[in-house]
Amino acid sequence: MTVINTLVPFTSAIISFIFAFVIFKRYFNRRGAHLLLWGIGMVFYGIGGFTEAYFGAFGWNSLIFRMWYLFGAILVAAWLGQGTVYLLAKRRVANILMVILGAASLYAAIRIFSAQLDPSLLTTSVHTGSELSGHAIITPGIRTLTPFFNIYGVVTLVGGAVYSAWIFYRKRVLLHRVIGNILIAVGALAPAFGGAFSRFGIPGTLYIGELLGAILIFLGFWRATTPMAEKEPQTVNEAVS
Amino acid sequence: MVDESKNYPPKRQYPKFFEKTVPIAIGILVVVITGVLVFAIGVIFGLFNGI
Repeated sequence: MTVINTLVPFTSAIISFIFAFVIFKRYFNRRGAHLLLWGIGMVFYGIGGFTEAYFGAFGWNSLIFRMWYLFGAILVAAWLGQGTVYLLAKRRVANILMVILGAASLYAAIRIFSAQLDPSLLTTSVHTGSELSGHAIITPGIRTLTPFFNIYGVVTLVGGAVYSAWIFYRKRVLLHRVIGNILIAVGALAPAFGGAFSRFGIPGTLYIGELLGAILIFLGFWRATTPMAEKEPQTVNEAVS
Repeated sequence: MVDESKNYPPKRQYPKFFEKTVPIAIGILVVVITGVLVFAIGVIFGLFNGI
């Protein structure tokens, strides 16, 4: 049991659940499918962090592993991204994608909860073994599901945030939303970088990336939804005078 | 003589720092997103190890 393998993911989980509460509160005040899905996505993020902390503190548990793989490794980015789809795309398109994502998520859940596992394989490949990894899944065809969900998550969550930032920047309006969306995009990519370093054998980097991601996404959401106290963007004439 | 600048609304600008850093940040993010997507597609085709 180390600080990196227990306290770091536990902190990620706490931040994620607090963030989910903030989003759900906003959803009940304002409505909007995007808020509901972001809230659900952050609950998934929190479950991912909690299961990692449990593994770090108490060791292997097959139910905890299955929950981690389903919510933390497969669903989180895609469901957060689906929220952004509801914000940016036409309602009909978003509804169709939601049905596909829902069906795919159900299929993934059935496959993961019926998979054969071998915890001794957690240390295979270049992975450190100190963190949870899908190497423990023996049943073929399950780990190949993950990149499909994560591609959808990257395109919709990160791509959507970058697209929104660019639109506001091009019009030179709502600077707080530009900054907020950039923070969200960086935060959403942080776990991917943590995972990449983990594959190079550096322990703890996945969990640090996830913690950084939770903090940055939270800050980004807060920044995007809180107008800045400073003056509106200047015109060129004002800027030079 | 007609003042042509009056025919167009003045261009809005963010503070200098953000005028410079925002497009750089967006550019870096686009490159990183492309890299992550290439990696994920590589995982699908078995070129890299997935999660």
